[in-house]
Amino acid sequence: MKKYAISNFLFTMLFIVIFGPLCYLLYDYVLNFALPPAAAKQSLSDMNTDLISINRDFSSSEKYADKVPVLMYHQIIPKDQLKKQHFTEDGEINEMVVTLEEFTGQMNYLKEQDYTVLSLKEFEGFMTNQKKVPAKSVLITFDDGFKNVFEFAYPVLKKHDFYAVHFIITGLITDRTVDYDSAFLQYASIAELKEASDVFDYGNHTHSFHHRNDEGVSYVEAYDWVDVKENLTKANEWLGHSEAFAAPYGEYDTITLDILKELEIKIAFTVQPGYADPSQHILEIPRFGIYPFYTIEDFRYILEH
Amino acid sequence: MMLTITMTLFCLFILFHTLYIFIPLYTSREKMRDYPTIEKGISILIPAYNETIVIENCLMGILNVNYTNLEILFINDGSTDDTLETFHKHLKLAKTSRLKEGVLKYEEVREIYQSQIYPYIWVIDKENGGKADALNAGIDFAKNEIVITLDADSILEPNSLNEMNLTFTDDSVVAAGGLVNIVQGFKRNEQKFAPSFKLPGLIRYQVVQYLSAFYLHKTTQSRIGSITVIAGAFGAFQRSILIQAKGYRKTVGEDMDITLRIQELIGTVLKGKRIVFVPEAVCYTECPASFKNLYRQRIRWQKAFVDCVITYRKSFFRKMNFKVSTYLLVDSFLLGTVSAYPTLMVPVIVIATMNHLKLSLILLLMSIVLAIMQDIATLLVSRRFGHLYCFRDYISVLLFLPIEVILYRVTGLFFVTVGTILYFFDKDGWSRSERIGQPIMLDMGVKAGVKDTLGG
Repeated sequence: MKKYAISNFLFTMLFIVIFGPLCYLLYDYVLNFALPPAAAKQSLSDMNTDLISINRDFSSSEKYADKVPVLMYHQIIPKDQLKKQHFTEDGEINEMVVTLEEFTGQMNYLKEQDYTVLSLKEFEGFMTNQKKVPAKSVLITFDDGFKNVFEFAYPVLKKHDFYAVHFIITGLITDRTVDYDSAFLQYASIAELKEASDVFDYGNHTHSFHHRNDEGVSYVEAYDWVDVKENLTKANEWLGHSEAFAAPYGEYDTITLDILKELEIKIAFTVQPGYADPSQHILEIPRFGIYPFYTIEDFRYILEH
Repeated sequence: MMLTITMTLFCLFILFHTLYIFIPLYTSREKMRDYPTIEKGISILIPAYNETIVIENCLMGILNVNYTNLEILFINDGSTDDTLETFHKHLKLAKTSRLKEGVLKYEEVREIYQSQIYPYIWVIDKENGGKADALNAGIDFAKNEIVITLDADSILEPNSLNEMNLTFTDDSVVAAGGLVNIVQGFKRNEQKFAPSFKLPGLIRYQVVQYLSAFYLHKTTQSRIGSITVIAGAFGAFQRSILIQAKGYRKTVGEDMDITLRIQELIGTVLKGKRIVFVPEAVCYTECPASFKNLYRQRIRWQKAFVDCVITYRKSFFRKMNFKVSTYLLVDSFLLGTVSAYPTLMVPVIVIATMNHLKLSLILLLMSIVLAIMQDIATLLVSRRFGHLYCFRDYISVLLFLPIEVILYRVTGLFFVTVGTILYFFDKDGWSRSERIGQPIMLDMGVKAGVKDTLGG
């Protein structure tokens, strides 16, 4: 043994040095793609992420808004990463997806036109008549909590110092960050949520009721109010606050509104197109869905009328 | 699902091949060989069927062994060429008779000859019956307790029988395999017979393959007690166990077949007995020098392997112990044969779908690195047993390794896949590889007279 100790040792070291990193690469890959990450064990409330407290003073504005458009997005994916599943049968891009190129153009437009992108707090002030906001104001919202929003939309928003509200399905948030791959429907991880909390305020999009039953009825409408309430409570606890809510598919009924009141949710959105103004029911604020086939002209039209 | 299967197979592959590197590396060393003073009787059996070209080399090796308690039985298996005449020429044969035990069946023996020059060399002339049949005849006529089987083109290293003798002093050893070197991989310079790497690529590939097959794989198998093949080129057995195994079975791969039969016995009635590999016991053999002949040889080997897996399918884990069964089914069959098909399909699938491209590349890179590492370990281990190349040769070996791994191993995959398919069409196609028979001079103090007759 002694005789060969040196050569054995050297060879073993060489083996470890070369083979170790390869093993790690493989491990990393398998972890990323082969094993879908589990639901997050921690919740956002454990992570000390506060709501964005930004509340600017707009008293120097020349004109004030009497109504504000609320924009709704779902997924943001670069054009060259679109896969077959992002297209409908007639070759159109899925309505839930806006390409990163379009999104960037829209955000640049807001910047150029000097729009004020409101934080949730400012918008709430506007809706409750406690605050005046500039004539050219807008609120940006995202639904579902997809990873691609964090991957692609977040940097754009951050660059422009914009804010947005992100309604997340809290039960789908994962416990570890994986590499982005557009081939899969990936949800954000708890770490990503925390990281992006300087841009996003997180809203309630149910904990696990983003489904339809066999008859095609949304769980929020199909389930007994006790169950719905429990599910929404869970999501609120997970978020650590009961600030904002958006119903999955925009489907809800009067019972849902009662639950929202019971849970002291302050503000809730629909998917009905329209402008938000303080005279409306604060739990039924309309939003404009932004779709992949919108040109920048369509975008402008929504903002200005 | 596919990914799970892939990853499982790959992890098994990595595990086995890492063991192949580290077990030999940390356990192989030149021991102080303490040769016993008593020479056990050894009977060497050499079946010959149309072996005119190589038989002289074989004789050379035999005449040079430093061993006295020895008899050699050439079995002329109904050759249709000058094999028998060649024996006559070199051995001055005289007709004689010889006792046989009569425990095994084989084709009719025409004549028994004994050499008048070397009385310990005999030739059994019999009707053609195939290699297994010839070996059975040899076993029946052999009178010593240790039986060594050689191929007609095997050249024994002078000290090889002493090593075998030492091995069999351990009573638990019932069979032992020797190390087979490729004769073309050696050159004579200044009275020395030393490894050289100035060779054509096809032979280089086989040299590297043989070295790692014996110094790493066989060593590892020997350590864990899972030897599944004792190479027909150089195997040693207790004669009694060959008879207990009812001799050789007529099949395309009789060497693997007999080894598995012995493993069955070890797993059932002979618990505690062992089959070992003896890296110090060396013989030299020719390897095919052309692709066509290599193809024939490898297809034959693969057919032999598939045949054994099918023949012994019911014995695994029942008659054979866990280690042997696992080794054969997992490493040889699953990783060696079954996975060859998907491996060949992978590039096609990956290029067609562009899925998991990164994964494929990682796996490929890992396989290549592991293979090269294994080859380097082979060089390290073989050095310890005196297989030394000169510095320049080591450089060319190292430069050759990536080529070997990337280019030649694919050929290996091809042989495995084709051989397996061909087995089902032609079970017993024993297409012979042509012998080359380049004159080898093992300069070990051969008697001058023999030198002349052997035309060395």
